[in-house]
Amino acid sequence: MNASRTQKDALRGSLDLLVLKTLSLGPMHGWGISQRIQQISRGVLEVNQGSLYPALQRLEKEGLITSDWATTENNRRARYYEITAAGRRALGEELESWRRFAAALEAVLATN
Amino acid sequence: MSWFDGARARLRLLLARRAAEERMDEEIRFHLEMETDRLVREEGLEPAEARRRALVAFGGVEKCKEELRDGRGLAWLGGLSLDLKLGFRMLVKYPVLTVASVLALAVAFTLAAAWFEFSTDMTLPRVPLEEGDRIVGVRNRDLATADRDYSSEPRSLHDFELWRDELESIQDLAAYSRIAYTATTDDGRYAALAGVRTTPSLFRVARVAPLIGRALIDDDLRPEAPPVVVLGYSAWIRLFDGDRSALGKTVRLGAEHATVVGVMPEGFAFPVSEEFWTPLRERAIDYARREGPRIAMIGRLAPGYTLEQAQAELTMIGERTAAAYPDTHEHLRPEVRRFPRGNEMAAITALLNIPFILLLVVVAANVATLLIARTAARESEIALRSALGAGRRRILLQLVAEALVTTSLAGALGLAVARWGLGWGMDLFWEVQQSRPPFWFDRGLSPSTVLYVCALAVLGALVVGGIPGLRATHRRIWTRLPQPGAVGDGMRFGALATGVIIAQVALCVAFIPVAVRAAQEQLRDPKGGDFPAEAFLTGRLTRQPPFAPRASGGPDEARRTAELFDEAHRRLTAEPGVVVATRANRIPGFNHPVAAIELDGDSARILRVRGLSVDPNFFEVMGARIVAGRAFTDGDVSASADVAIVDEAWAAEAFAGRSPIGRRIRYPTRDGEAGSRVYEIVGVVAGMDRAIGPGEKVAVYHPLKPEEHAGVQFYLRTAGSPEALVSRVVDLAPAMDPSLGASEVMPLEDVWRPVQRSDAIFTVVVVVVVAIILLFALIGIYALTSFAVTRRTREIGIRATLGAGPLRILLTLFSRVLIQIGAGIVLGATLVSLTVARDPAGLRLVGGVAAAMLVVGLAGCAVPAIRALRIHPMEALRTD
Repeated sequence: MNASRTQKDALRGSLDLLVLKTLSLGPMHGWGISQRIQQISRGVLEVNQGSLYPALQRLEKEGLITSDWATTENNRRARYYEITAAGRRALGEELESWRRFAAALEAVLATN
Repeated sequence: MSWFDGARARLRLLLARRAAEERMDEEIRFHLEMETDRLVREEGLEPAEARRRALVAFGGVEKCKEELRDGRGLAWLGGLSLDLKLGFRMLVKYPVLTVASVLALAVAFTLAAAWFEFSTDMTLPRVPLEEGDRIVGVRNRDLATADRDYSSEPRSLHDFELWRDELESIQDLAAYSRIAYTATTDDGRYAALAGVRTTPSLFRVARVAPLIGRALIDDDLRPEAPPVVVLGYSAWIRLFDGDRSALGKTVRLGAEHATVVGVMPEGFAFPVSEEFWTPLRERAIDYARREGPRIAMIGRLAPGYTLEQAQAELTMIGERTAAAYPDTHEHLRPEVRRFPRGNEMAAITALLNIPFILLLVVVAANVATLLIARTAARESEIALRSALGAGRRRILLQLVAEALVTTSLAGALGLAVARWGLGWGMDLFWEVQQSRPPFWFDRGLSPSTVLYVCALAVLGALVVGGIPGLRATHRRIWTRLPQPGAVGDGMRFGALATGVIIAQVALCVAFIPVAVRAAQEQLRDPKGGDFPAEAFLTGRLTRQPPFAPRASGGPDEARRTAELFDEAHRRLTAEPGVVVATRANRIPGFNHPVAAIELDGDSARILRVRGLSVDPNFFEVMGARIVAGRAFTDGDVSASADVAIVDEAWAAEAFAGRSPIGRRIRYPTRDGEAGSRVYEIVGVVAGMDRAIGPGEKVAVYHPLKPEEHAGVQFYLRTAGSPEALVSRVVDLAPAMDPSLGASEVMPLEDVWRPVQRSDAIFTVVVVVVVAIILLFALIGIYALTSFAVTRRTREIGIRATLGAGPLRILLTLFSRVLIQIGAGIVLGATLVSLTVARDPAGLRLVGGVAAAMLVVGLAGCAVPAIRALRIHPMEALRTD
């Protein structure tokens, strides 16, 4: 099985979680979110940039993030996204759920 | 995010679609620039290569944009605008089809809009006055007679004064009594007016200031106050040409010379359709309980009170009055209701919108079938769209959107015609009713009617676009992709087309001759055509206020009334310019109620007829003749025996051709045998239809006994113009006795004219509608037959190549069309065989319509067939 393809499949399902977690560290524009995910995961997780923006739109419609135009450090106009209180709550619930899943998976895989 | 927030966000995005697109473009552009810069900076790539790698890393910019558009939830609307543009192009590309479809649909929209507007005004009236929804009507209901006789509401002058003084929940309670006069001015102008005698509080209920002068005031009610009148706008124009100096001038109203003290603004006719207002001076103290003038009551709910609270208070007062005066008030129950009450048949009137909706659906289905041929020609385009990823729903949406352009055009046209026609159609309707519309009737179209038509346009588009769309997309349409030699089972509609042709021909053959015959008869034989209606003056004699008949009025009162009527008749007959005079109890055939009669005591045989009471010389004056038995005599008027004369045509049918002389008729009453009257038929009259003119036919005549009627209708045959006599006639009655009045005095032709005009207009409308339906049917047949033959161009080419002669090919094609149209003619002729086809003229009409269908059908075959025969066989073989 191609390792890169496996990572991308797994990543698509948890893209929302990654975006929320990234934004919980601070507001960021779309390109910055994709870079931050890559940096924090030390290059292991590479976000499909084309699917990032539909995910951002979906999260904004659900009220988990908000967006607004602002100026970057390089004096360019960009749309910045920020997590909301509802987003933080949803992030906490998803993290908890993900950890339970990962622990269960680990328990099954660890048995001989 | 709640659904509401989501919907609001979607709506914002819809309205700011351009801004959303710009935002999306800017965001993606920023992303690509940042990624390009990073690749140049970190990996040292050339800008062009960095840009390329950035695009690859992004993974499909257009795909991302489509996802974002879909994510807005209203992406389909973007496609809708394109579909609408395509729809317009389709209309221009097929102009004949467009005109026929739009006209046919517009007829259905016009009828639907006009009925909806009319029925809404009737059932949900809205008073266009300040806080109009707080105006209420109050009345006494007599439980003892309510079920039997709605018209005899108890006289309630005493109750009015009591309620006016005691009620807290209803303020400015006013009483009014309807009255009609032929008003005349000092310079001889006259106008038949209907108005009210009212208490001044009526104007406080309306809260509308006069245009000039003043409204009625409490001082006008004093017995010694001079008679005054407030005129309506139209009366002011008719009597004084809108001259402001009318204030202070006098108008003769019955026995009184009233001074004009005010004029109300245009459109004001409160409480219903009044043209003048005079003071109601009667006081309860002058009458016993439940006697006095017949009044209606109206008021406003006081601030803070509801209708239910007002009813509760009124009920309490009513119970107290019933306890105090059981003889007169035991069965009376006071009621308060919203004003106006609206049509109590609201549910049925609303349901009557359904036939008009069904008519639209039928017309739309017809248009849809026509468009199937056009849609079939676009099979390749539809197949290509499907191959590119458009789902069935998307394609259907496209076709429905295109159809929406057609139905919207038709809807707009229908609204325009309804707006134009409704205004003067309503005027004509009320004129024929010899009445005026309530002032709250809106001559325009209300917003609800416009919305209704918009909804119908969408419904029509679903039918017009949906039917061909479903047929076009239900098979393996990719087999119809545009490629040479493609073999596919393309859009078939042979059975449907055959069914439509047969149905259209049958309906046209069945209904068009009927409608045309009705119109022909109307035009050929205008009712009363040669009767000299312009030489007759007619009007109504009644006892008028201040005379108020006692409810228990006895024979003395009736005799006095009869004496006055007879004396007035003698004086009218003697007037210079009057050739001869006669009377009846009413104008025959106009708003003329029917009565049930039994023949010869056979209670199983009840007929419904219109009856008329007439003077002995009535038939002679009106140019009718007695064809059997005898005419009425003066002896019949005074005798106790009851006699009748019947109409010749009615008698022939009712008595199956046998002589009616000596036979008996009876008017059964609700009380059963006792009290009903039996009449012996003594004569038969012919020729009264001419004198009745456009009115409804009268079957039975009785001698006029004035003491039995509240009023009599006089007919004066004049030597010169009848108008010259109006003032003298109007003045004559009150000069004899102040309680006698002549109202609605006018030439007889003025009575007939509105009905004759409405009949003529009806005829024109029928002819126009029939012409549109016929045109539509002919175009439909031509289009369907033409398309069916065009589809066989390849087959024609093969046959020609194989040696078949042109004539043989044409005959083969014609035979199918002949069978289809022939079947339709037979079916239609069977349907119509019971009516117009009975006579030679009717047969000629049926034959004419059938021939038109046949010619057009054959032309539909011949034109494309000849065209196909003219092209080279090899080209025909290549035709798809």
